[in-house]
Amino acid sequence: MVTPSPAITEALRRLDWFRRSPARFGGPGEHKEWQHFLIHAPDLHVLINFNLIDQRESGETTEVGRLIVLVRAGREWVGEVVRFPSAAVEVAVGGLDARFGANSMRFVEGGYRLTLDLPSVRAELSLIPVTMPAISNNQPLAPGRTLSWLFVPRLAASGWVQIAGERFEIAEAPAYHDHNWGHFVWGDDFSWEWGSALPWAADNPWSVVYMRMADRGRASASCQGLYLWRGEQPGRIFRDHELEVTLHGRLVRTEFLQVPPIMALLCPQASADLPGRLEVHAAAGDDTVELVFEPEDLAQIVMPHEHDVFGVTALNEVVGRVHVHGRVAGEVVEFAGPGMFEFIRD
Amino acid sequence: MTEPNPSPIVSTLAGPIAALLAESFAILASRLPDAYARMTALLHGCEAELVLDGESIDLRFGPAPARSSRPLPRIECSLATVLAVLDARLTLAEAVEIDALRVRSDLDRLVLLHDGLLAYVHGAVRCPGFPELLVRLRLQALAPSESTPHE
Repeated sequence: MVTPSPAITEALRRLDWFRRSPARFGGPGEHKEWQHFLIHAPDLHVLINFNLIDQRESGETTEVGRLIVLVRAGREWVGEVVRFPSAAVEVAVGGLDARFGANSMRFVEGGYRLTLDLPSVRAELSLIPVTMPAISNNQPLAPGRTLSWLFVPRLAASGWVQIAGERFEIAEAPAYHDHNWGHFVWGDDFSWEWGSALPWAADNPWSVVYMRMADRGRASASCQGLYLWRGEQPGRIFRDHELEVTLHGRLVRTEFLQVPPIMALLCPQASADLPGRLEVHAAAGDDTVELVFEPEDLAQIVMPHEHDVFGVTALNEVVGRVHVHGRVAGEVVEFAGPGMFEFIRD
Repeated sequence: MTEPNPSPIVSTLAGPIAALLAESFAILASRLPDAYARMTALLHGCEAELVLDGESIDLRFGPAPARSSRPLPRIECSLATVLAVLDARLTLAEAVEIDALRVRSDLDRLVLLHDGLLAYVHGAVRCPGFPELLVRLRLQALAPSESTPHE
Protein backbone atom coordinates (compact mmCIF):
# COMPACT_ATOMS: atom_id res chain seq x y z
CA MET A 1 0.00 0.00 0.00
CA VAL A 2 1.32 3.43 -0.95
CA THR A 3 1.74 5.80 1.98
CA PRO A 4 2.54 9.50 1.78
CA SER A 5 6.16 10.53 2.15
CA PRO A 6 6.67 13.31 4.73
CA ALA A 7 9.40 14.87 2.57
CA ILE A 8 7.16 14.99 -0.52
CA THR A 9 4.25 16.31 1.55
CA GLU A 10 6.42 19.09 2.94
CA ALA A 11 7.73 19.99 -0.53
CA LEU A 12 4.22 20.17 -1.98
CA ARG A 13 2.88 22.30 0.86
CA ARG A 14 5.79 24.67 0.26
CA LEU A 15 5.53 24.79 -3.55
CA ASP A 16 2.16 23.71 -4.93
CA TRP A 17 -0.05 26.48 -3.54
CA PHE A 18 -2.58 28.48 -5.50
CA ARG A 19 -1.13 31.80 -6.69
CA ARG A 20 -4.33 33.41 -8.05
CA SER A 21 -4.49 36.51 -10.18
CA PRO A 22 -2.78 39.67 -8.97
CA ALA A 23 -5.41 41.60 -10.96
CA ARG A 24 -7.75 41.08 -8.02
CA PHE A 25 -5.69 43.75 -6.23
CA GLY A 26 -4.90 46.00 -9.18
CA GLY A 27 -1.92 44.00 -10.43
CA PRO A 28 -1.34 42.68 -13.94
CA GLY A 29 -4.15 40.74 -15.56
CA GLU A 30 -4.36 38.00 -18.20
CA HIS A 31 -3.45 35.55 -15.46
CA LYS A 32 -4.12 31.85 -15.88
CA GLU A 33 -3.59 29.08 -13.40
CA TRP A 34 -4.56 25.45 -13.42
CA GLN A 35 -4.18 22.31 -11.34
CA HIS A 36 -4.07 19.35 -13.66
CA PHE A 37 -4.34 15.62 -12.94
CA LEU A 38 -4.05 12.55 -15.16
CA ILE A 39 -5.03 9.07 -14.04
CA HIS A 40 -4.51 5.87 -16.02
CA ALA A 41 -6.17 2.57 -15.31
CA PRO A 42 -6.74 -0.32 -17.71
CA ASP A 43 -9.35 0.91 -20.23
CA LEU A 44 -9.73 4.19 -18.35
CA HIS A 45 -7.91 7.51 -18.72
CA VAL A 46 -9.02 10.55 -16.74
CA LEU A 47 -8.04 14.21 -17.08
CA ILE A 48 -9.15 16.66 -14.38
CA ASN A 49 -8.25 20.34 -14.54
CA PHE A 50 -9.29 23.01 -12.03
CA ASN A 51 -8.48 26.37 -13.58
CA LEU A 52 -8.76 30.06 -12.81
CA ILE A 53 -8.60 32.53 -15.66
CA ASP A 54 -8.81 36.29 -15.86
CA GLN A 55 -11.62 37.65 -17.94
CA ARG A 56 -11.62 41.30 -18.93
CA GLU A 57 -14.68 43.31 -19.85
CA SER A 58 -15.25 47.07 -19.88
CA GLY A 59 -11.94 47.70 -18.14
CA GLU A 60 -12.72 45.29 -15.29
CA THR A 61 -10.90 42.02 -14.71
CA THR A 62 -12.66 39.17 -13.00
CA GLU A 63 -11.26 35.75 -12.19
CA VAL A 64 -13.39 32.91 -13.49
CA GLY A 65 -13.29 29.34 -12.18
CA ARG A 66 -13.72 26.49 -14.61
CA LEU A 67 -13.44 22.75 -14.36
CA ILE A 68 -12.42 20.61 -17.32
CA VAL A 69 -12.93 16.86 -17.15
CA LEU A 70 -12.23 14.30 -19.86
CA VAL A 71 -12.66 10.58 -19.40
CA ARG A 72 -11.86 7.90 -21.93
CA ALA A 73 -13.52 4.63 -20.97
CA GLY A 74 -12.84 1.87 -23.46
CA ARG A 75 -13.03 3.68 -26.78
CA GLU A 76 -15.56 6.29 -25.68
CA TRP A 77 -14.86 9.78 -24.40
CA VAL A 78 -17.06 11.83 -22.15
CA GLY A 79 -16.23 15.21 -20.75
CA GLU A 80 -17.18 18.78 -20.27
CA VAL A 81 -16.00 22.26 -19.46
CA VAL A 82 -18.01 23.82 -16.66
CA ARG A 83 -17.84 27.44 -15.69
CA PHE A 84 -18.78 28.40 -12.13
CA PRO A 85 -20.19 31.66 -10.82
CA SER A 86 -17.75 33.43 -8.50
CA ALA A 87 -20.00 32.71 -5.51
CA ALA A 88 -19.49 28.98 -6.12
CA VAL A 89 -15.68 29.18 -6.22
CA GLU A 90 -13.54 29.06 -3.10
CA VAL A 91 -9.78 29.08 -3.56
CA ALA A 92 -7.52 30.47 -0.85
CA VAL A 93 -4.24 32.01 -1.96
CA GLY A 94 -1.38 30.03 -0.49
CA GLY A 95 -3.46 26.89 -0.02
CA LEU A 96 -3.89 23.71 -2.00
CA ASP A 97 -7.63 23.48 -1.63
CA ALA A 98 -10.27 24.54 -4.12
CA ARG A 99 -14.03 24.22 -4.29
CA PHE A 100 -15.85 24.73 -7.57
CA GLY A 101 -19.51 24.18 -6.77
CA ALA A 102 -19.90 20.60 -5.57
CA ASN A 103 -16.47 19.71 -6.98
CA SER A 104 -13.31 20.02 -4.97
CA MET A 105 -9.61 19.49 -4.76
CA ARG A 106 -8.06 19.19 -1.32
CA PHE A 107 -4.62 18.32 -0.06
CA VAL A 108 -5.13 16.10 2.99
CA GLU A 109 -2.61 13.95 4.85
CA GLY A 110 -0.07 14.10 2.07
CA GLY A 111 -2.45 13.34 -0.78
CA TYR A 112 -4.76 15.09 -3.21
CA ARG A 113 -8.45 14.32 -2.73
CA LEU A 114 -10.56 15.06 -5.78
CA THR A 115 -14.34 15.09 -5.78
CA LEU A 116 -16.30 15.48 -9.01
CA ASP A 117 -20.05 15.91 -9.20
CA LEU A 118 -20.82 16.86 -12.78
CA PRO A 119 -23.69 15.81 -15.05
CA SER A 120 -21.42 13.52 -17.08
CA VAL A 121 -18.86 12.41 -14.49
CA ARG A 122 -18.79 11.71 -10.78
CA ALA A 123 -15.66 10.67 -8.94
CA GLU A 124 -13.96 10.33 -5.58
CA LEU A 125 -10.22 9.98 -5.93
CA SER A 126 -7.21 10.00 -3.67
CA LEU A 127 -3.84 10.62 -5.30
CA ILE A 128 -0.72 9.95 -3.24
CA PRO A 129 2.44 11.53 -4.68
CA VAL A 130 5.29 9.05 -4.90
CA THR A 131 7.85 11.39 -6.53
CA MET A 132 9.21 14.74 -5.47
CA PRO A 133 7.88 17.70 -7.46
CA ALA A 134 9.90 19.80 -9.90
CA ILE A 135 9.30 23.52 -10.23
CA SER A 136 10.33 26.02 -12.92
CA ASN A 137 9.48 29.68 -12.47
CA ASN A 138 8.93 32.25 -15.22
CA GLN A 139 9.94 30.21 -18.24
CA PRO A 140 9.71 32.11 -21.54
CA LEU A 141 6.45 31.30 -23.32
CA ALA A 142 5.95 34.00 -25.96
CA PRO A 143 7.44 37.46 -26.44
CA GLY A 144 6.86 39.24 -23.13
CA ARG A 145 5.09 36.21 -21.64
CA THR A 146 6.23 33.65 -19.12
CA LEU A 147 4.79 30.50 -17.63
CA SER A 148 5.67 28.82 -14.36
CA TRP A 149 5.07 25.18 -13.68
CA LEU A 150 5.33 22.53 -11.06
CA PHE A 151 4.90 18.87 -11.81
CA VAL A 152 4.74 15.65 -9.87
CA PRO A 153 5.76 12.94 -12.33
CA ARG A 154 4.04 10.11 -10.50
CA LEU A 155 1.25 9.55 -8.04
CA ALA A 156 -0.79 6.51 -7.07
CA ALA A 157 -4.52 7.05 -7.58
CA SER A 158 -7.28 5.14 -5.83
CA GLY A 159 -11.03 5.58 -5.68
CA TRP A 160 -13.81 5.47 -8.23
CA VAL A 161 -15.07 7.22 -11.35
CA GLN A 162 -18.65 6.97 -12.54
CA ILE A 163 -19.86 7.80 -16.03
CA ALA A 164 -23.31 7.09 -17.47
CA GLY A 165 -24.14 4.91 -14.50
CA GLU A 166 -21.03 2.74 -14.92
CA ARG A 167 -18.63 2.79 -12.01
CA PHE A 168 -14.90 2.14 -12.40
CA GLU A 169 -12.89 1.21 -9.33
CA ILE A 170 -9.28 2.38 -9.31
CA ALA A 171 -6.58 0.97 -7.06
CA GLU A 172 -3.14 2.59 -6.95
CA ALA A 173 -3.25 3.45 -10.64
CA PRO A 174 -0.41 5.49 -12.19
CA ALA A 175 -1.18 9.20 -12.17
CA TYR A 176 0.45 12.55 -12.92
CA HIS A 177 -0.06 16.09 -11.65
CA ASP A 178 1.04 19.53 -12.75
CA HIS A 179 0.27 23.08 -11.73
CA ASN A 180 0.84 26.00 -14.08
CA TRP A 181 0.48 29.73 -13.73
CA GLY A 182 1.40 32.78 -15.73
CA HIS A 183 0.20 35.79 -17.68
CA PHE A 184 -0.71 35.10 -21.30
CA VAL A 185 -3.68 34.87 -23.64
CA TRP A 186 -4.77 32.16 -26.02
CA GLY A 187 -3.61 33.31 -29.43
CA ASP A 188 -0.19 34.52 -28.26
CA ASP A 189 2.83 33.39 -30.25
CA PHE A 190 3.42 30.03 -28.58
CA SER A 191 2.59 26.36 -28.66
CA TRP A 192 3.66 23.43 -26.56
CA GLU A 193 3.90 19.68 -26.46
CA TRP A 194 3.70 18.28 -22.97
CA GLY A 195 3.52 14.63 -22.04
CA SER A 196 3.60 12.27 -19.12
CA ALA A 197 4.85 8.70 -19.51
CA LEU A 198 4.43 6.14 -16.75
CA PRO A 199 5.00 2.42 -16.38
CA TRP A 200 2.07 0.11 -15.81
CA ALA A 201 4.30 -1.88 -13.46
CA ALA A 202 4.18 -0.27 -10.02
CA ASP A 203 7.60 -1.65 -9.14
CA ASN A 204 9.30 -0.01 -12.11
CA PRO A 205 11.14 2.99 -10.60
CA TRP A 206 11.11 5.23 -13.67
CA SER A 207 8.72 8.08 -14.46
CA VAL A 208 9.10 10.47 -17.39
CA VAL A 209 7.85 13.93 -18.33
CA TYR A 210 8.46 15.45 -21.76
CA MET A 211 7.99 19.10 -22.67
CA ARG A 212 8.72 21.27 -25.66
CA MET A 213 7.82 24.95 -25.97
CA ALA A 214 7.76 26.50 -29.43
CA ASP A 215 6.42 29.43 -31.37
CA ARG A 216 2.85 29.33 -32.64
CA GLY A 217 3.90 28.10 -36.08
CA ARG A 218 6.11 25.42 -34.48
CA ALA A 219 9.03 26.60 -36.60
CA SER A 220 11.44 26.82 -33.67
CA ALA A 221 11.49 25.48 -30.14
CA SER A 222 12.48 27.84 -27.33
CA CYS A 223 13.13 25.09 -24.79
CA GLN A 224 12.60 21.39 -24.41
CA GLY A 225 13.29 18.78 -21.80
CA LEU A 226 13.00 15.13 -20.92
CA TYR A 227 12.76 14.61 -17.18
CA LEU A 228 13.40 11.16 -15.74
CA TRP A 229 12.61 10.40 -12.14
CA ARG A 230 14.00 7.30 -10.47
CA GLY A 231 11.89 6.44 -7.47
CA GLU A 232 11.20 9.60 -5.46
CA GLN A 233 14.06 11.60 -6.91
CA PRO A 234 15.16 13.06 -10.25
CA GLY A 235 17.23 10.47 -12.08
CA ARG A 236 18.33 12.38 -15.16
CA ILE A 237 17.21 15.56 -16.88
CA PHE A 238 17.99 16.12 -20.55
CA ARG A 239 17.57 19.65 -21.82
CA ASP A 240 17.37 21.55 -25.10
CA HIS A 241 20.20 20.48 -27.42
CA GLU A 242 20.43 17.10 -25.66
CA LEU A 243 17.08 16.16 -27.22
CA GLU A 244 16.14 15.32 -30.76
CA VAL A 245 12.39 15.15 -31.38
CA THR A 246 10.84 13.70 -34.49
CA LEU A 247 7.19 13.41 -35.44
CA HIS A 248 6.09 10.75 -37.87
CA GLY A 249 2.89 10.21 -39.80
CA ARG A 250 -0.47 11.58 -38.81
CA LEU A 251 -3.06 10.58 -36.25
CA VAL A 252 -6.31 10.39 -38.19
CA ARG A 253 -9.59 10.17 -36.34
CA THR A 254 -12.83 10.95 -38.10
CA GLU A 255 -14.67 11.67 -34.86
CA PHE A 256 -13.50 12.77 -31.47
CA LEU A 257 -14.80 14.68 -28.49
CA GLN A 258 -14.47 18.45 -28.51
CA VAL A 259 -15.27 20.57 -25.48
CA PRO A 260 -17.01 22.89 -24.98
CA PRO A 261 -19.29 21.27 -27.59
CA ILE A 262 -20.22 24.55 -29.24
CA MET A 263 -16.56 24.94 -30.28
CA ALA A 264 -17.07 22.06 -32.72
CA LEU A 265 -18.78 24.63 -34.96
CA LEU A 266 -15.62 26.76 -35.00
CA CYS A 267 -12.90 24.12 -35.04
CA PRO A 268 -13.52 21.44 -37.67
CA GLN A 269 -12.28 18.05 -36.56
CA ALA A 270 -10.15 17.59 -39.66
CA SER A 271 -7.78 20.27 -38.43
CA ALA A 272 -6.21 18.29 -35.59
CA ASP A 273 -2.78 17.98 -37.32
CA LEU A 274 -1.27 15.49 -34.90
CA PRO A 275 1.56 12.98 -35.32
CA GLY A 276 0.99 9.27 -35.65
CA ARG A 277 4.15 8.70 -33.62
CA LEU A 278 6.48 10.90 -31.57
CA GLU A 279 10.05 9.92 -30.88
CA VAL A 280 12.43 11.60 -28.48
CA HIS A 281 16.09 10.72 -28.55
CA ALA A 282 18.00 12.12 -25.57
CA ALA A 283 21.74 11.82 -25.13
CA ALA A 284 24.29 13.45 -22.85
CA GLY A 285 27.62 11.91 -21.95
CA ASP A 286 27.14 8.19 -21.60
CA ASP A 287 23.44 8.49 -20.86
CA THR A 288 20.94 7.87 -23.61
CA VAL A 289 17.17 7.48 -23.53
CA GLU A 290 14.66 6.86 -26.30
CA LEU A 291 10.98 7.60 -25.78
CA VAL A 292 8.39 6.52 -28.30
CA PHE A 293 4.81 7.71 -27.97
CA GLU A 294 2.21 6.02 -30.13
CA PRO A 295 -1.05 7.99 -30.04
CA GLU A 296 -4.28 6.02 -29.93
CA ASP A 297 -7.01 8.60 -29.56
CA LEU A 298 -7.65 12.23 -28.77
CA ALA A 299 -10.07 14.72 -27.33
CA GLN A 300 -9.87 18.46 -27.84
CA ILE A 301 -10.31 21.39 -25.50
CA VAL A 302 -10.90 24.36 -27.77
CA MET A 303 -10.19 27.89 -26.55
CA PRO A 304 -11.21 31.08 -28.36
CA HIS A 305 -8.42 33.55 -28.94
CA GLU A 306 -8.66 36.44 -26.54
CA HIS A 307 -7.21 39.31 -28.57
CA ASP A 308 -9.17 38.70 -31.74
CA VAL A 309 -12.74 37.65 -32.45
CA PHE A 310 -12.17 34.79 -34.90
CA GLY A 311 -9.23 32.56 -33.88
CA VAL A 312 -9.22 29.40 -31.79
CA THR A 313 -6.54 27.25 -30.19
CA ALA A 314 -7.00 23.51 -29.74
CA LEU A 315 -5.45 21.70 -26.81
CA ASN A 316 -5.27 18.17 -28.14
CA GLU A 317 -5.28 15.64 -25.32
CA VAL A 318 -3.82 12.55 -26.89
CA VAL A 319 -3.80 9.23 -25.12
CA GLY A 320 -1.52 6.43 -26.20
CA ARG A 321 1.21 3.94 -25.43
CA VAL A 322 4.73 4.88 -24.47
CA HIS A 323 7.85 2.83 -24.56
CA VAL A 324 10.99 4.14 -22.90
CA HIS A 325 14.37 2.49 -22.99
CA GLY A 326 17.97 3.54 -22.48
CA ARG A 327 20.75 3.68 -19.96
CA VAL A 328 21.33 6.24 -17.21
CA ALA A 329 24.41 6.16 -14.98
CA GLY A 330 25.04 2.63 -16.14
CA GLU A 331 21.53 1.48 -15.21
CA VAL A 332 19.06 0.19 -17.75
CA VAL A 333 15.89 2.27 -18.17
CA GLU A 334 13.05 0.28 -19.62
CA PHE A 335 9.30 0.47 -19.37
CA ALA A 336 6.06 0.45 -21.28
CA GLY A 337 2.91 2.11 -20.12
CA PRO A 338 0.28 4.77 -20.63
CA GLY A 339 0.95 8.27 -21.82
CA MET A 340 -1.10 11.35 -22.29
CA PHE A 341 0.43 14.10 -24.37
CA GLU A 342 -0.97 17.57 -24.95
CA PHE A 343 -0.35 19.17 -28.33
CA ILE A 344 -1.35 22.79 -28.84
CA ARG A 345 -2.47 23.63 -32.34
CA ASP A 346 -3.96 26.79 -33.80
CA MET B 1 -11.29 48.74 -30.75
CA THR B 2 -13.63 48.92 -33.71
CA GLU B 3 -16.80 50.99 -33.52
CA PRO B 4 -19.89 48.82 -33.75
CA ASN B 5 -21.51 48.77 -37.14
CA PRO B 6 -24.62 50.91 -36.74
CA SER B 7 -26.60 48.94 -39.30
CA PRO B 8 -30.00 48.06 -37.93
CA ILE B 9 -31.04 44.45 -37.62
CA VAL B 10 -34.74 44.10 -38.18
CA SER B 11 -36.85 41.26 -36.99
CA THR B 12 -40.54 41.16 -37.67
CA LEU B 13 -43.43 39.11 -36.33
CA ALA B 14 -41.57 39.30 -33.06
CA GLY B 15 -42.16 36.23 -30.95
CA PRO B 16 -40.14 34.86 -28.06
CA ILE B 17 -37.33 33.48 -30.23
CA ALA B 18 -37.03 36.71 -32.24
CA ALA B 19 -36.87 38.61 -28.95
CA LEU B 20 -34.06 36.38 -27.70
CA LEU B 21 -32.19 36.77 -30.99
CA ALA B 22 -32.58 40.55 -30.95
CA GLU B 23 -31.40 40.63 -27.33
CA SER B 24 -28.35 38.56 -28.24
CA PHE B 25 -27.45 41.04 -31.00
CA ALA B 26 -27.82 43.92 -28.54
CA ILE B 27 -25.65 42.18 -25.93
CA LEU B 28 -23.00 41.40 -28.52
CA ALA B 29 -23.05 45.00 -29.76
CA SER B 30 -22.63 46.44 -26.27
CA ARG B 31 -20.30 43.90 -24.63
CA LEU B 32 -18.19 42.70 -27.53
CA PRO B 33 -18.46 45.40 -30.21
CA ASP B 34 -15.54 44.08 -32.28
CA ALA B 35 -17.30 40.75 -32.75
CA TYR B 36 -20.59 42.49 -33.53
CA ALA B 37 -18.88 44.73 -36.07
CA ARG B 38 -17.25 41.76 -37.77
CA MET B 39 -20.55 39.90 -38.01
CA THR B 40 -22.53 42.86 -39.33
CA ALA B 41 -19.79 43.76 -41.80
CA LEU B 42 -19.91 40.24 -43.22
CA LEU B 43 -23.71 40.30 -43.43
CA HIS B 44 -24.10 43.90 -44.56
CA GLY B 45 -26.98 44.15 -47.01
CA CYS B 46 -28.05 40.58 -46.37
CA GLU B 47 -31.66 39.53 -45.77
CA ALA B 48 -33.04 36.18 -44.71
CA GLU B 49 -36.11 34.54 -43.29
CA LEU B 50 -35.57 32.30 -40.30
CA VAL B 51 -38.27 29.90 -39.22
CA LEU B 52 -37.56 28.44 -35.79
CA ASP B 53 -40.15 26.17 -34.18
CA GLY B 54 -42.64 27.70 -36.56
CA GLU B 55 -41.84 31.27 -35.53
CA SER B 56 -40.96 33.35 -38.57
CA ILE B 57 -38.22 35.95 -38.16
CA ASP B 58 -37.19 38.33 -40.89
CA LEU B 59 -33.59 39.46 -40.61
CA ARG B 60 -32.04 42.37 -42.43
CA PHE B 61 -28.51 43.61 -41.92
CA GLY B 62 -28.06 47.20 -43.02
CA PRO B 63 -30.17 49.04 -45.57
CA ALA B 64 -32.74 47.19 -47.58
CA PRO B 65 -31.21 45.96 -50.81
CA ALA B 66 -32.69 46.91 -54.13
CA ARG B 67 -35.68 44.83 -55.22
CA SER B 68 -34.54 41.51 -56.56
CA SER B 69 -36.27 38.76 -58.42
CA ARG B 70 -34.38 36.26 -56.29
CA PRO B 71 -36.39 34.87 -53.34
CA LEU B 72 -35.07 35.56 -49.86
CA PRO B 73 -32.91 32.86 -48.36
CA ARG B 74 -35.07 30.78 -46.04
CA ILE B 75 -33.72 28.70 -43.18
CA GLU B 76 -36.02 26.50 -41.18
CA CYS B 77 -35.47 24.16 -38.28
CA SER B 78 -36.59 23.42 -34.74
CA LEU B 79 -35.01 24.78 -31.59
CA ALA B 80 -34.21 21.17 -30.76
CA THR B 81 -32.04 21.08 -33.88
CA VAL B 82 -30.37 24.37 -32.92
CA LEU B 83 -29.54 22.92 -29.49
CA ALA B 84 -28.35 19.65 -30.99
CA VAL B 85 -25.87 21.60 -33.11
CA LEU B 86 -24.77 23.78 -30.19
CA ASP B 87 -24.27 20.64 -28.08
CA ALA B 88 -22.34 18.95 -30.93
CA ARG B 89 -24.82 16.09 -31.12
CA LEU B 90 -25.30 17.05 -34.75
CA THR B 91 -23.13 18.95 -37.21
CA LEU B 92 -24.67 21.53 -39.52
CA ALA B 93 -24.01 19.24 -42.47
CA GLU B 94 -25.66 16.28 -40.73
CA ALA B 95 -28.66 18.44 -39.86
CA VAL B 96 -29.11 19.28 -43.55
CA GLU B 97 -28.60 15.66 -44.61
CA ILE B 98 -31.36 14.36 -42.31
CA ASP B 99 -33.64 17.24 -43.24
CA ALA B 100 -33.68 18.63 -39.70
CA LEU B 101 -32.32 21.86 -41.18
CA ARG B 102 -33.96 23.03 -44.39
CA VAL B 103 -32.24 25.75 -46.35
CA ARG B 104 -33.39 27.44 -49.53
CA SER B 105 -30.94 29.91 -50.97
CA ASP B 106 -28.63 30.56 -53.85
CA LEU B 107 -25.09 29.54 -53.14
CA ASP B 108 -23.45 32.95 -52.81
CA ARG B 109 -25.89 34.16 -50.15
CA LEU B 110 -25.79 30.81 -48.41
CA VAL B 111 -22.00 31.05 -48.08
CA LEU B 112 -22.38 34.59 -46.77
CA LEU B 113 -24.98 33.52 -44.20
CA HIS B 114 -22.75 30.64 -43.09
CA ASP B 115 -19.80 33.01 -42.62
CA GLY B 116 -22.07 35.38 -40.71
CA LEU B 117 -23.31 32.55 -38.50
CA LEU B 118 -19.74 31.57 -37.62
CA ALA B 119 -18.89 35.21 -36.84
CA TYR B 120 -21.94 35.30 -34.55
CA VAL B 121 -20.83 32.10 -32.79
CA HIS B 122 -17.26 33.41 -32.45
CA GLY B 123 -18.77 36.39 -30.65
CA ALA B 124 -21.12 34.23 -28.60
CA VAL B 125 -18.36 32.02 -27.17
CA ARG B 126 -16.41 35.12 -26.09
CA CYS B 127 -19.26 37.22 -24.77
CA PRO B 128 -20.00 36.96 -21.03
CA GLY B 129 -23.74 37.56 -21.51
CA PHE B 130 -24.35 34.53 -23.71
CA PRO B 131 -24.34 31.63 -21.22
CA GLU B 132 -27.46 33.09 -19.60
CA LEU B 133 -29.09 33.55 -23.03
CA LEU B 134 -28.38 29.91 -23.79
CA VAL B 135 -30.13 28.86 -20.59
CA ARG B 136 -33.17 30.86 -21.67
CA LEU B 137 -33.03 29.34 -25.15
CA ARG B 138 -33.08 25.86 -23.59
CA LEU B 139 -36.10 26.83 -21.51
CA GLN B 140 -37.78 28.22 -24.61
CA ALA B 141 -37.19 24.91 -26.40
CA LEU B 142 -39.06 23.16 -23.58
CA ALA B 143 -41.95 25.65 -23.58
CA PRO B 144 -45.06 25.01 -25.64
CA SER B 145 -44.94 27.02 -28.84
CA GLU B 146 -46.85 30.30 -28.62
CA SER B 147 -46.34 31.26 -32.20
CA THR B 148 -48.37 30.47 -35.23
CA PRO B 149 -46.58 28.44 -37.86
CA HIS B 150 -45.73 30.70 -40.73
CA GLU B 151 -45.42 29.07 -44.12
